[in-house]
Amino acid sequence: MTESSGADAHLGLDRLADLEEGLLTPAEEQAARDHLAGCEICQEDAAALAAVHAALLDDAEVPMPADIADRLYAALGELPALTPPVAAVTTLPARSGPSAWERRRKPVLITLAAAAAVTLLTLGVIHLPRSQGSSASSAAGVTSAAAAAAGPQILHSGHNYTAAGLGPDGAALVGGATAGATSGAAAATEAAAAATSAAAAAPTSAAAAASSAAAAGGATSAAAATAAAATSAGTSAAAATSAAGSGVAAPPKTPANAGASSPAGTSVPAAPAATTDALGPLRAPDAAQRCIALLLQTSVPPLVIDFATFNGKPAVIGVVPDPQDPTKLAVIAVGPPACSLYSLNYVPKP
Amino acid sequence: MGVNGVDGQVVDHPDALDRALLDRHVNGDSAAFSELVRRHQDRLWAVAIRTLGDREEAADAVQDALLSAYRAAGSFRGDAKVSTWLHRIVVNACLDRVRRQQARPTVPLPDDDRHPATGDALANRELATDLGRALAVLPPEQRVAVVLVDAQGYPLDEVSRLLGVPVGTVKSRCSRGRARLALLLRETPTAGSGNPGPAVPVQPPEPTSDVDRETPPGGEQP
Repeated sequence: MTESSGADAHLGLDRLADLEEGLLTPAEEQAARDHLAGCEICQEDAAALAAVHAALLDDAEVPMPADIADRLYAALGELPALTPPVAAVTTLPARSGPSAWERRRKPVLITLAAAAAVTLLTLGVIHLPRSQGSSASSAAGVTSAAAAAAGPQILHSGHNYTAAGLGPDGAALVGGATAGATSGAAAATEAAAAATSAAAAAPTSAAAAASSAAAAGGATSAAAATAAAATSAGTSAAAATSAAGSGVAAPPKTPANAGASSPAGTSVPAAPAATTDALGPLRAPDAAQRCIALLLQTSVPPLVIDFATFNGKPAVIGVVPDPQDPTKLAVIAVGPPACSLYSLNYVPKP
Repeated sequence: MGVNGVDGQVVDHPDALDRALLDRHVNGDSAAFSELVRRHQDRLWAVAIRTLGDREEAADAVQDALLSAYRAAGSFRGDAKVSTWLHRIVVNACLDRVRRQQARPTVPLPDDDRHPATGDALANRELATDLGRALAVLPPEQRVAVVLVDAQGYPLDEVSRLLGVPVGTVKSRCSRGRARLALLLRETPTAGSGNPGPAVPVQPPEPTSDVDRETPPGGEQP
């Protein structure tokens, strides 16, 4: 490695690396670049440094040797299981059979749903007695209390979300809500102009009706009342949402929910009562919100909760600010049984 | 049905699965934590073997770190990805050991032959790549900087915090480390003739190319 002691001296790997890292003064940097531009030897060095970068980038994972992995998992296996934080939470049934990891994706997800189910049901018993209604503030638990502080906008769009469209459609919900809540200016969606003006107004009124109904009634009647509110606002709300998501939504997979993804302009609301009933406990906005918080492991309340369908099945869509990245939104689809994760997408905030 | 039920539309954002596994673990499912670790073991192993350069040290570091993560899982607050949290715990355990290695005056070390276990380490399969071997002979402070910043994609400011040195120091350690790696890789006999990588265009690199990298562990894209 030659130090650059004169105009003709080669840069050397150290100086080239410093150049790359921005450690040279502007004058040194200019001199180095000038030299590099005309020097094959230094260009070779620069290529060697680039190869180092590439090799390091490829080195983010190194297979753990089997004997070390065995030792590790044996040690972990000897630790006692943690005690569940809430005394009443039922411990999951012990799993038997082949090593847990052999059942990879699907089984993990199934037990995941089971775990979520247990937690949800327990929370339901402890924190959400029916007589207390669905007002989030009455529910114990940090998550719901935190969530209630801001309060999500509740929609019953009846829109049929798909895995591919979930992110953009969810983000569009927030865009629409923002427009409605503030100036009414058309949100920057690809929706047709006519549909956009509906979108600006409809979700807000639907949500207002829904939440006042929810506050007045108990949990059970609240669900019905919300459904009714959605029906009355249904036309415009459905139009708004499908307009916002137009071009992304896929055709419904089941004829039963064909109405759920009607194109903008046709006034066919989804059958809200049937949809919400099929959601089970999740039909209560509180429970839906807790389910979303559970799966996302965050106490940040959703901006919007949309009772809708996912791939034709009743589902609740939550749009939640990504706690890790303020420029992003998490759009999550959950549904029965209990609190199951259907889909999750992270998208830039509109 | 559950997550995978929607017409085969399994959706498994990695962090959501991680969080679900951690939640199961916290709720007493004794198998969940191991499942969680298995999802990330190769990345966790990479940071340990590369920063420590020694198989047994790395194994101990990973094990110690994960045993404490197991116990501390209840304190995970969800403001970072689960994988990031796990990764940091392992990184910290490794850095502790690196510091101990440095403090241990067992071998009078010139920069070139600095690791006490280098002889054995070179025989390890995990180090059998040119890069692994080359990293193992870097001075630890350079090795740590290069592994965290370049291989694991940690932002410079985070590495600066982890190591307790200014960002500028991290940069210069990276710079020195890369230069040295380039030299070592070029001189590696098994690397054949010529450079170890494809010929890369030699435009002057962007000086800030590393600075704004996203926090890496997990590798998930949002």
